[in-house]
Amino acid sequence: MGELKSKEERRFQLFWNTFFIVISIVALIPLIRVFSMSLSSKDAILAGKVFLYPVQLTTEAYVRSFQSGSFVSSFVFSVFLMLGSTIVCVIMTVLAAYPLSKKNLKGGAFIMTLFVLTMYLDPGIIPKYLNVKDFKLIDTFWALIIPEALSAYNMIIMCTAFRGLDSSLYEAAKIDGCNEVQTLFKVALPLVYPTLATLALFYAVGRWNRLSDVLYYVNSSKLYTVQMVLKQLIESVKLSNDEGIQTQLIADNIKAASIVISMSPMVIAYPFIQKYFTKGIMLGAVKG
Amino acid sequence: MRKANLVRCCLAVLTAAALVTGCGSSKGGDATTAAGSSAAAGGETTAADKGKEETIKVMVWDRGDAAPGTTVENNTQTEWIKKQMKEKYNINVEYVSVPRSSSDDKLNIMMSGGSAPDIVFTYNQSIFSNFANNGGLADLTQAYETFGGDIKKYVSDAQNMGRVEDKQFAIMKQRGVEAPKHTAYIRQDWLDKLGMQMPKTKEELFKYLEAVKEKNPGGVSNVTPWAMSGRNDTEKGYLNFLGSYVNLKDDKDAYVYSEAYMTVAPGAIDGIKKLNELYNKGLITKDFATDTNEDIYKAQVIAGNVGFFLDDTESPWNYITVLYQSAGQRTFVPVQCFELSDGSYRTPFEQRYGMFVMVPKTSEKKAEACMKYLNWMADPAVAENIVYTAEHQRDENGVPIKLSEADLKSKGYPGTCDDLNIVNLSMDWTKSKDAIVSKWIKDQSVKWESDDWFSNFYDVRAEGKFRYPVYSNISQAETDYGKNVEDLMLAYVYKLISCSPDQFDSLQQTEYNNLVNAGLQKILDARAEYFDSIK
Repeated sequence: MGELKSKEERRFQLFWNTFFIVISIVALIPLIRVFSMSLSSKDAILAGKVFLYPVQLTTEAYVRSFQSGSFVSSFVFSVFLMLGSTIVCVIMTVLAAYPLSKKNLKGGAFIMTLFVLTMYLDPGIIPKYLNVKDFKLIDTFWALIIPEALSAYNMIIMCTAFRGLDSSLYEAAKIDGCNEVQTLFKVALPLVYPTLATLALFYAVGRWNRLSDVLYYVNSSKLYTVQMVLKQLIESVKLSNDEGIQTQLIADNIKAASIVISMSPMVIAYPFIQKYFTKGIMLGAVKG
Repeated sequence: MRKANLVRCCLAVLTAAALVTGCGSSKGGDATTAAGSSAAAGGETTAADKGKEETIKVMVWDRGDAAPGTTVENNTQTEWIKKQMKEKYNINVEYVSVPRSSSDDKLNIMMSGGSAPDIVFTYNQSIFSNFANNGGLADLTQAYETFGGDIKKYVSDAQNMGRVEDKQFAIMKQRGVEAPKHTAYIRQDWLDKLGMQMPKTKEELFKYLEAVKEKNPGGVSNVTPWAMSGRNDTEKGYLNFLGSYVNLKDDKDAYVYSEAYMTVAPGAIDGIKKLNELYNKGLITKDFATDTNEDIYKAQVIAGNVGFFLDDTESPWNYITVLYQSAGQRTFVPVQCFELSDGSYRTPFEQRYGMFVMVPKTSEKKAEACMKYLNWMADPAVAENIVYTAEHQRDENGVPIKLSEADLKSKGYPGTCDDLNIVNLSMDWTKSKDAIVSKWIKDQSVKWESDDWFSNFYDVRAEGKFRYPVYSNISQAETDYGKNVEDLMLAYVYKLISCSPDQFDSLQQTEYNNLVNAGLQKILDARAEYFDSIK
C-alpha cells in the first residue's frame, strides 16, 4: 500500500499522526499521574514531587483500599449490578426495537414518537424521584435498574440496525416456518451482533459510571456502588474541616488507588469488546 | 445451543445480583427482629413510665468508613444507642444513611418527596430557613419545653438560631472547642536568622516580608515571602488581613458586614490596595489565582520556600509536619499581627452553633420521641460515650482517648462515631486549655513539635477573640443572590490584588459595580433593615 504514496500524502499522514499522538498523550497524562500517585508515599504527593512516575514506591495504598470493608463490597456489588443491569437493558432494547423496525407495524410511528419525546423532555429530579417512590422502588436493587432500563437513543440505533437487514431474509425465514420470536432470535439477532455488543458496552459503561440514582434512590449503604464510595473518599477531607470534628483524613495515595481500582474493569473490558466495533464497520462495508 | 447457554448465563448473573442485595436486606431484618425481641422483654417490666413504643428514623452520615462487615446504620455503636433508647424511653431507633458528600442535595430531594427520616440535619442555614419558611418543618416549641431539659441545661447558647418567628424549628448542635476561623503562620527560624522580633503589627510584618525577599534567609531557590492560593470557595487567605483595616463602629456594622462581607466593608479597600502593592513588589505568590486547588501553595509551604501564610486554623499542621521533618527544627509558628486602628486585634471565631437538627413536617407526630432522643444525647457524658464509644478511657487531663483505628475496626465501630452525636460537642474537656493542648499533642500521628508549641498556639490563635452577631433570619435578597455575590467577591479580591497598580482604581470601580448589579447592595440593605427591625 505504502509504496505508491506521493510526498504530499506522506507529509499529510505525518502531520495527522503527530497530531493524534499528541492528543493521546494529553489525554493519558492525567491517568498516568493518578496511577503514579497510587504507588507513591503520601508525603511525596503532598510535597508535589509526583508527576509522571511514582516517588518512594509503595503498594500501601492498594493494601489499605482492599482492607477497607466498604470499598471491596461495593466493588463486588457494582460488578454484579453492572452485569445484571446490562442484561436487562439489552433485552428491553431488543424487544422494543425489533417490532418498531417493522414497517407494517400499526401505530409504530406514534410509539416511536413517544420514545423520542423522552429524549427531549426531561421531567427533572424531583418528579423522577416521586415516580420511583410511588412504585415503591426506593432503597431497592431495582431502583438502580428499572428507571434506566431503556435508553431511547440506543433503542433507535438498534432499530436502525434491524431495518438495515434485507427484508428477503425475513421472508425466507417466514417461508421456512419461523414465527416472529424465532425470526428475531434465529435470524435477526445473530446478524446485528456487533451492534448488540456495542450497545451492551454503552449500557455497561453508563451503569458503571452513573452516580445520581445511587445518591437519590438508595439509602442503605449496602447498595452503594463503587463510584459512590469513591466520591465519599475524595470529598470527605474538604468537609470535615467545616464541622470541627475529628475525622480521619484520607491520604491522596489511597484516593488515587481507589480511582485506579474503580477504572480497572472498564480498562480491562475495552480491548475485548473493541473488536466488535471494527467488525461492525466491516460488516457494513461488505454488504454495501 | 449457544443461546441456551446465554440465557443460563444471564439468569445466573441476575440471581447472583439479587443474592448480593438479598443478603443485605435479610441481615437488616435480623437486626430488627433482635431489637424487637429485646424490646418485648424490656417492655414487660416498666412499660408504664417509659411511654408507648415508638419507632423513629434518624439520618446518619456515611463517609464510607464503616468497619468491615458492618454498615453505618448497623454496627456496634448504633446497637449501643438503640439499646439505651429502648431501655430508657421505649423508643426504637432506626438509621437512614445519607452520603456525607451530597448530604444537602439528598436532604432536599427526600424532603420534597415526603420520605425524609424523622430527624434530619444540615449545616446550611439557607436550607433550614427555606424549609422553616415554607412549612416543611415540625414546630418543636412544645416538645422542647416539655422534654428538652438537658438541651436547655447544656447547650442553650446556640438554640436561638433554630428559632423562626418564636417557633423552635431546629435544635442546634453546639460546637466543641472554641476556635478562630483562620490563623496566620510565620517562619520562626527565618525571623531568628534575620535578627527580627515576632511582628506585632502589619508594618513589622511588611518589613519581615521585604527582608525575606531581599536576604532569602532560608537560602531557598524560589522564595515566596507570603504564599497565597486561588481557592474559589474560601476567603481564608486574606479575610483576617482585610478585616484589620475595617473599623466596626457598633453591632449593626458587625452584623451587616459579618464574615465574607468584610471584603466590602468601609476601609477594606485599603487592605486590598496594600495587598496589590505587596503583589507588585513580588512579595505574594505570582499568579496565585490560578492555583485553585492549592496544590502549588501546599507544595511551596512544604518545600520550605514560604515565609508567611494565612490559612485555616489547624489544617496547615498537615503540611507543616512534613516540612518540620525535612527541616529537622522548628519552622512555622502562629502569629497575630493584624492590628486594628487602635492597636488591638480582632480574630473572628467560629459561631457556637453548628448543625441545624430538624424534624420534617411529615414526622410531626413523632416530635416528642425525637426530642427525647435529642435530649438524651445533650448530656455531655452521653455525648462523650457516643463520640468515643462506651469503652473509652480518659487520660490524666480528663481528655477522652479515642480508640485506635484498628480497635474501632475489629470491634465493629464506624470510623467516625462523631456523626452519631448530633446535639452536643461541648464536652467537659473542651473547656480547659490544658485538656485541649494535651489532646492536640496526643492526636498527632508523628511527633513534630514540642508541647510548648501547642500551648503557645492556643494563646496566639485566641488573641483578639471576636464573634459576629448572628440571627436566624436570612433575607430574601440573600437567598436569591447570596451565593453568587460571595463567589464574585472572591474574584473581586483576586483580580484587584493581581492587577497593575495604575489600573487599580478603575478596575475597582467596574468590579464593585458588578457586585452591586449582582445584588450586593440589596443584601447589605436587607441586613441593615433587619437589624433595625429587631432593635
